[in-house]
Amino acid sequence: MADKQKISCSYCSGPAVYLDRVRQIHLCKAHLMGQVEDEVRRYLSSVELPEIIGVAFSGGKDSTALLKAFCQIKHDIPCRFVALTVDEGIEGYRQDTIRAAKEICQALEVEHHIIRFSDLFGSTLDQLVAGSDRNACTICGILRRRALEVLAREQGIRMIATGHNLDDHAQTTLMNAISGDIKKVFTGHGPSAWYAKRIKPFARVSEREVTLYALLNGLFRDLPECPYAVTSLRGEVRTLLYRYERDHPGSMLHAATCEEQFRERFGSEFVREPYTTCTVCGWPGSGEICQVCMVLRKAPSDHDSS
Amino acid sequence: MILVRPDQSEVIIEACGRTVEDILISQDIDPLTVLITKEGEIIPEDTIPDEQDRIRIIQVSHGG
Repeated sequence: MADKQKISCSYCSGPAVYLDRVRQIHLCKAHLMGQVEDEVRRYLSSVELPEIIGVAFSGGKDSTALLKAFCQIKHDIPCRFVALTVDEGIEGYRQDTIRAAKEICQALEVEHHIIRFSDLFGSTLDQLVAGSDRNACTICGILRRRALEVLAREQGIRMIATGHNLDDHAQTTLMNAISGDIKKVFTGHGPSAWYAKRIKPFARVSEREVTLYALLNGLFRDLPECPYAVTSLRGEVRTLLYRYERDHPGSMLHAATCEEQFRERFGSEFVREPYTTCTVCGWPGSGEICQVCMVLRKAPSDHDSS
Repeated sequence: MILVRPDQSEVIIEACGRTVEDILISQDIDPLTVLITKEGEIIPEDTIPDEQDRIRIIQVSHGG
């Protein structure tokens, strides 16, 4: 496989940019990009598409690559799409990524909508976690999901595409196995007409392929890392999975599809807890008070004023 | 050859006919967490670099 000179694409004479370790083939820029776009096309053809899709767009590499892929195949999909960005309010980090998001949407000529934690919840993420030992990533995840839903509803969007890739799926599968939380495997709750349907067109595309796709399209920027990102279980699982993937190519794909197969085969047998209506905000959730209202109730400003 | 890390620090390494993948592993860098460029062009990790090459690492996976 190794060649001291330039390595060529397995499909043409172009210089290889990528080694597909599972199929043991090399791909040039054009074939790598074509493969990614084909996969997005295949995924979207397996879904009943509405008139409009919201692309959850942080401005990072994964969602940027997804937005670009949508632009490339827009003539093949029977719906239009807009970019949806949540500004969590993280000083020294989000300004750069929001600016990048705006510039990319402008360059790709994609309609772009932004919603801010400060407008929706009255506080930025920084303010919500200041002076407390609360886990910023947990709070951010809960509030970002709500913010994205609110923004989607405002725009009449019932389907949201996220940039989650194969690596994310494999990591989540292993994390669910380690935590033993079977509800997470079966997504916890039954389907709701309230929430927009989530789709993941990069579910079969590795993080390296996604990054390479953004890079080869001139859209990769070395943006700052979120200051709240810490070494977590996901980080440990990621390291473990990359090691397995290196020694046993295809491990990540197998891990990701394993959970999907469980869901397909046993999903109908699993008794899901129905949504309850939050007594504070009226949104569907679990328990009397939804997670969003629980998070906001514990905000430092509430403690300060009591 | 010169290996340029994501933090822009540089390491001089004797390639000795090894692939970029083997060189990365010898430097405790998982080849699946990075992409590699040579003279501004992306190259696959099973490339065997020359001793005079300058290989730059682009980080794909971050912490968290």
